Amino acid sequence: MSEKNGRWSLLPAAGNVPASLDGQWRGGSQTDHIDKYLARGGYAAAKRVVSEQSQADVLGLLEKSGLRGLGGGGFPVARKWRAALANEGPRYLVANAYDADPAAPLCRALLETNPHALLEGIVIAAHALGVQEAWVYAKAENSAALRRLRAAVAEAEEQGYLGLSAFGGKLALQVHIFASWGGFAGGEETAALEAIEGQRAMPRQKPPFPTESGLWGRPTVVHSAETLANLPHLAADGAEAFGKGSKLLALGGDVAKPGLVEVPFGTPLRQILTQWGGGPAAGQSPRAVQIGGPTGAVLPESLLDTPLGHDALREVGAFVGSGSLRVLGEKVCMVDFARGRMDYLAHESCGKCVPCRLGTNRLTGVLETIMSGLGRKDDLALLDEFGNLLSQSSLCGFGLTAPTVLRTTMTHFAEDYRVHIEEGRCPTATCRALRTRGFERKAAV
Amino acid sequence: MSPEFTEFHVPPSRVIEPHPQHADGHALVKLTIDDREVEAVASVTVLQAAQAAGIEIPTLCSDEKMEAMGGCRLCVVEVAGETRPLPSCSLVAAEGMVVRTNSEALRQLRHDTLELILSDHNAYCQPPCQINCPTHIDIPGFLEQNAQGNWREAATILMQVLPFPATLGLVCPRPCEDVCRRKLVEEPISICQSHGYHGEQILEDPPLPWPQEAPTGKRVAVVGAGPAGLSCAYYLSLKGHKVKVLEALPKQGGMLRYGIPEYRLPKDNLDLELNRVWALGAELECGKSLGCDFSLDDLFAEGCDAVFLGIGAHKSNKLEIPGEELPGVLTAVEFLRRVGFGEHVEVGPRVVVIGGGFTAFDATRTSLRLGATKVDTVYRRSRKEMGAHWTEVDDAEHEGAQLHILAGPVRILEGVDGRVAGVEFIRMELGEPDARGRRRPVPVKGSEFTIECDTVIAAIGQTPDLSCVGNEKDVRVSNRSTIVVDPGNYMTDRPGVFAGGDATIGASTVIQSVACGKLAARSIDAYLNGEDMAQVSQRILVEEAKPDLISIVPYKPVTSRMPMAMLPYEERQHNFACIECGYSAEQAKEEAARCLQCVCPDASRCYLQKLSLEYGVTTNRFHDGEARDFHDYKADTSHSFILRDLNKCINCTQCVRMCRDVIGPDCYGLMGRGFDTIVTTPFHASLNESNCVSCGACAETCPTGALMLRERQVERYDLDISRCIFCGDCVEVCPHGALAESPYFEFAGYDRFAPMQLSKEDLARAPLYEKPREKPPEMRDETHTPVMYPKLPRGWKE
Repeated sequence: MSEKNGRWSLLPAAGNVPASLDGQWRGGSQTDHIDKYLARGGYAAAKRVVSEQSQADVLGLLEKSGLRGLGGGGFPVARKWRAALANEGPRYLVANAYDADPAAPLCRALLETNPHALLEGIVIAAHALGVQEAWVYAKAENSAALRRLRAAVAEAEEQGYLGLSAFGGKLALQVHIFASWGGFAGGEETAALEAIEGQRAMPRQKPPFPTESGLWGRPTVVHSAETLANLPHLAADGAEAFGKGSKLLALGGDVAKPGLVEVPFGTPLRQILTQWGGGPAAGQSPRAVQIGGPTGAVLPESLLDTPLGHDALREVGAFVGSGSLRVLGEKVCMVDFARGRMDYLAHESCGKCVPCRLGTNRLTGVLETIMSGLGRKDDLALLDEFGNLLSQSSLCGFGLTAPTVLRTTMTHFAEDYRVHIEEGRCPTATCRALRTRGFERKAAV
Repeated sequence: MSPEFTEFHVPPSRVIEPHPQHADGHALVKLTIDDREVEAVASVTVLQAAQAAGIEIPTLCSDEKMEAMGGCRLCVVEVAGETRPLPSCSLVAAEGMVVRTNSEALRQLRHDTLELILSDHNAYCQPPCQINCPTHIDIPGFLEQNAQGNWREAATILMQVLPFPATLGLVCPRPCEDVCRRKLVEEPISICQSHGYHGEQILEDPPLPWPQEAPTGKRVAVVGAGPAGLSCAYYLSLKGHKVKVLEALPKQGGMLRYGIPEYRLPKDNLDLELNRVWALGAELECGKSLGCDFSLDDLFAEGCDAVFLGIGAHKSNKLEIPGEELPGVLTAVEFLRRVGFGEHVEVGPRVVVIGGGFTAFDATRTSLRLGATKVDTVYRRSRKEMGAHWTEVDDAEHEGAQLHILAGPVRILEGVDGRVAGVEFIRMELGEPDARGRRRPVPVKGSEFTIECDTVIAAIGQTPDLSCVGNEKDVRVSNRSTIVVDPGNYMTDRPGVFAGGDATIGASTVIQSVACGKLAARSIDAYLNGEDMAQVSQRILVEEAKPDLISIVPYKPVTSRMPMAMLPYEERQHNFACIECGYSAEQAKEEAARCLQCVCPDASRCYLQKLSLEYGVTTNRFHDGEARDFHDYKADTSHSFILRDLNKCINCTQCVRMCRDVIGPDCYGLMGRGFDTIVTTPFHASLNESNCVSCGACAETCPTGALMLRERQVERYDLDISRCIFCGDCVEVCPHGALAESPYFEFAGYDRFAPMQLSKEDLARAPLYEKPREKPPEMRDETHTPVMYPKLPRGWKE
């Protein structure tokens, strides 16, 4: 396990990058212009791939490295590409730089500081997939990132790395930028496709997967911008040097040094918090961590030795998700925390499918009831039943993972729920009453 | 920088494979749906494959004309090899796929999904009065007719489910009024007395609810001429079956005649109403009792195809206390029956009535009318638990009865003459609730007291006298001494023998008995048509299930209930004159106009309602929360033809896709996010402000009552022939095909109500269209939209 050397690190500064909007690197001296990127050896890998390697070479390399998507789901990249290649073109490529979770602005940082890594990754993927048009899908409110990205695309075209005759005519590739408003749900990969097609950013039912029927019904490969930005490193140094790869994380909550960090896969969560996060915030001892954004799992202190990795996290019921790693201090009541996350989701659901649109709201209501001291014992069964509905029957990953916070807190912190319901008090004495009446089961009027 | 590369993109057209209409020339796939091998064209969805094979999968948001959306999550199916259920509307059928559409887990998912939809379905469905009424009278419907003074129309609506409106108007315990939503504004509508009023208007010349069907040649015997038996006979006769009614007592009516006293129900009017059954061709034979004069086998031997047992509950329950056999101790049934026969029953000056039901108060008030000066009515629980309607209790007290609550009889005291001298009671207090939720009375030690009297009338409930069916094989009797029937189809264990009314449910209300008789008639009709009785049972149970409703009442000005004029208390003494004086026509209209019409005109056509009943979503666990838990949208009635009520919208987006992809104007879209997402027009404005072409396709495709068509009352469109260039555009765009093109360019339906065929030549000869010289002032203003006055459907408000 080794940290990435400076040449390939996705973020400019060693150590943490502040996640707040007025970060020191925003459009400032840290910003990586193409000459700096070229000086670091940028676009060399892309040039070699485009001029010397075949589709099979690139796919072989991907398979050897076992690279998996970094957008949260961890789907093997090679499998996705093979699925897209099995369908007749034209094919499209979408780099999802949307950062659905506002607490983890990973792609925004990437676009603002290192946009050429992404563009080079797009070139490599486009060559392997036979793609001539690619989109970068980003949040419209990240105006600095969008400005920087536009400039970077112009720079790359000027220097002949993008455009209709890039790399001396060996590659024709247009990169479009799509700025979208779509809330949290707008970050879902098929919602991105809908938005680019000019529709409301709402996810589509999968299957069919985008690799089969994506943009305008054509095979489309959608990757997180972070995944694509890792391709130059992999192409330049080979699978062995690349190793397991690394992941951008956003440390937050009750941690001493919050901010964005790049952490190698395999690092235990506890080590991430001490080595990069500087331990818990002053006067706090962590009760739990939440990994993966608003829909991510809450893991108790005892599970902090879990290494960062798709499979290891899945074993404890968690997933990498948005890449946010939030420390919950001892003053956090888990019922309130679950309520807050669920309330956020109830406001952010795209509204397309019934379980998510109404289920998140009703679950919030029940959690509010418990918080307000009006809980009943059968409320837990109700939470279970409708949590199950969401994770079984929702249309997209948003609804399917929405009950994760609820489930993991109910598993690991059952005591918090019990104390609220049976003793009518909050274990951390932080909950306030949000409702004067709970739901009633009601037969005909 | 070259903006044309980075900023602009001309999108290719979307690839949508049209679904093949038939299998010719297409590759076929074989898949297994619910253990059945199904063959389907390769590109169709699992939903379409299942539908083609006759397997029903519920859905609220898919329509074969449009692209699948997958939002309602009701069409989810289990596919072998998949970790979770997938919606069949967007799942393409593949070779070897193994699909299950109806497992217990799927049922649960669909149930919970429907429960969520209904938890924010802030709209009236069926009116609670109609649901709570055992016969499910269309109450808002007849009140609407009443409000306009259409008594016959109102009675026709009523008689579809209740043959005797005037009688029930006098004696019904009004379960409908208990749940009336008007109660949330001020007082419930007097539904019962309202139908009593129009029931009286048509006593002499009753309308039929639907035309009597031609004779079927089938014969049915009905045992018992009470409310259950006669209702059954009425509806069977309407269906064309030959009915013979056998009654043990000398006259028709059963408990209506021999249990309910004259002052509540004048028997002349009762006969007028009951005679309707004989007017339809049924026959009555009085003085024939089952078990004595004939047996069931005799009836079948005589050629009957089915038998209905409506023998009522005529056996009074015993007090089970010492002294019960003394002279002067009567049962209420016996007492009321003797009074009903016209006999003068001597009760003496002091009477004690024991019980708190309707019969107890009938006995109390009858005793007062027979000359008793002191009547004590004793009940062992409190007023709240009394079975009688509170108006009866009130009236009895005003007429002079003395009410004692929380006291139970211990023994009956014998006087020196060997007759009753009094009753010893013990005080009670209320203990734990029993299985029915009524609190059990517990005696208080040492609190005994005595009431002296000359007559004791025991009115503590009746049970059916089933000695008559004791010898009948296959007619099972329950341990509650009632006849056991299938709850859905009312058939006993013996095929062809049905039973209903008090005989099957124990002593109950008249309206319950009528409901049993009506449903039994429906079931008997199905039996005579040779239907599968298990299916009939299932069907009736589904139809009778109570859907859940949200009771939110829009603002209405307070109008108090029209009081019923009653006979003054002093004029009621020692006579049996009817105590309700009845409404005047004006009063009846005024009272009916108070109805909120809390009914959805789409009820019974609504897919959400249908599926909710099918999946048993009869209760909802998310009701009664805070105001923010429900949406309350204002209905948009501004459009001349299309009415929108977003409270009923379930966001299925069928209208969105229909308007955008099939019709074209693209008037609808989703607005808002999360819980507040709703389908509406651009900027949530009136539909008039959108590109609407008034085609009505959105209302046609809407699975609920959120989009409805307003009745059109335009009678004529004018055509300016001098300007028509026969371009045919109007023909092309007309979504209803009201204009049709032929080689002669015909105008079909040029006049909506008298379709006119005009050929090109006709048009050429037609007189020039002239603009009317005198236009109404409101039409002169070019910016003013023409005002139309079409009627709003029931339940909609401007």
